[in-house]
Amino acid sequence: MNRFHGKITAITSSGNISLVDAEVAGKPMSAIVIGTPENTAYLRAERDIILLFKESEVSIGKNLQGQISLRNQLDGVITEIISGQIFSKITLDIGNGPLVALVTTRAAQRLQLQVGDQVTAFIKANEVILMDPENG
Amino acid sequence: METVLIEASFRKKLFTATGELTLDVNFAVQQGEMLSLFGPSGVGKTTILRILAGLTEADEGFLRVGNDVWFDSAKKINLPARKRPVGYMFQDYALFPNMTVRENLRFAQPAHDIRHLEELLELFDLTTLQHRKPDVLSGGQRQRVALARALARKPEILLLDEPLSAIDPQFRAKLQDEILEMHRRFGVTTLLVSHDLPEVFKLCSRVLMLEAGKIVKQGNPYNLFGENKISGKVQLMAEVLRVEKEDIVGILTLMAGNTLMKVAVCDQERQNYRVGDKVVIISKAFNPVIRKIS
Repeated sequence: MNRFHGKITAITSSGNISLVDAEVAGKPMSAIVIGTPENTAYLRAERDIILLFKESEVSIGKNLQGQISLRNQLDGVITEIISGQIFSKITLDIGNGPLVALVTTRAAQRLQLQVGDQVTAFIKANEVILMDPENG
Repeated sequence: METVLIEASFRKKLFTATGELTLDVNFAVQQGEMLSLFGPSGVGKTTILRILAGLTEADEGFLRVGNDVWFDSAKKINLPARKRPVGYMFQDYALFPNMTVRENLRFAQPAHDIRHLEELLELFDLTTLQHRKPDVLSGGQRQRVALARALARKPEILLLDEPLSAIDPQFRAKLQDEILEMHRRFGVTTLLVSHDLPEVFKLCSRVLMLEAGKIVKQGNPYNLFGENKISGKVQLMAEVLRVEKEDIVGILTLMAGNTLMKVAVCDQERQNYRVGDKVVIISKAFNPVIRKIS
């Protein structure tokens, strides 16, 4: 599980669904959650928050051009690659601790990923879980 | 409208392994409720059950059940245990070893009621075992006898003191189902002492959390154990049954209720988990794929 501390910057709600913007070490991240500031204590602007997402929900891009719908894009440098038959675990330094991505070894080979590569990690906003730090 | 069955407020000085402790509690239990007393060892959970059953006398306070006062220290009222319609299932079951299953149940009945006895034997799947003695039964069978015996006196209140603590996790789920079925069928107001969080989630609608002789929190298990502080809307309490490594990822086999499931985790994370660990499985509301099966 990837786990980052951040601060909520904005909340946009529609019905009971909220798009929560947060800042994680100077970088913007977003999460879509069910719940609104009215019924969820930790959904408040300026509040400290923990963002959680699974390694297998992280995609890796290298030399990417064009546009992509994913809201969460974190640039980093690969510090470690551990490859199995099926999966490869890619660890990035994103300037705020390590971020781990679990991608297929096939994909890692196709991108010719190597330690030291500059890459971007992508996480869909609906895969990001928010947690109240007071409970974490 | 819910009716209060039990109104309790009592104090008792206890001498525990860790020193002196004053049990000081105040609580009400609704008719038909399944309530859990939850907390670490030695905080007075079992003593509360014993005071309700009349096996231990409180130093002061009162206990009212329905319209009857069972205990009132100010008025020197203390209904003897044998007159209290309470079914008590102890941690060690305390079955009579020299009696058969049927005799154990029969002995617990204040008045002979063959129909009720047969009903209990059938409900707990004991009909074929009724002439056996407890020492030839398995742990799960003994547990069913103990539960049936606790119900034999048609109690108004059922007290279960860690009823499943000695049972393997695989069988525990089935016995929890039996307790639930029993509760649905008889609707007996039940107090359950348990250390087991998944069990509390599965069986109880309300929890009294105890620390050092005091009720520190109460509420439904979901609110009480803080699961509303995380945005994942799919949350299941589970127990780790197996931890394996496949390729470079960890695979945890988990028992949530009576459902087995597997969850993949990163290898580093795998090393944090041991068989028997209690965990909560969290997923975003967006993740699960749903298919109708009927």
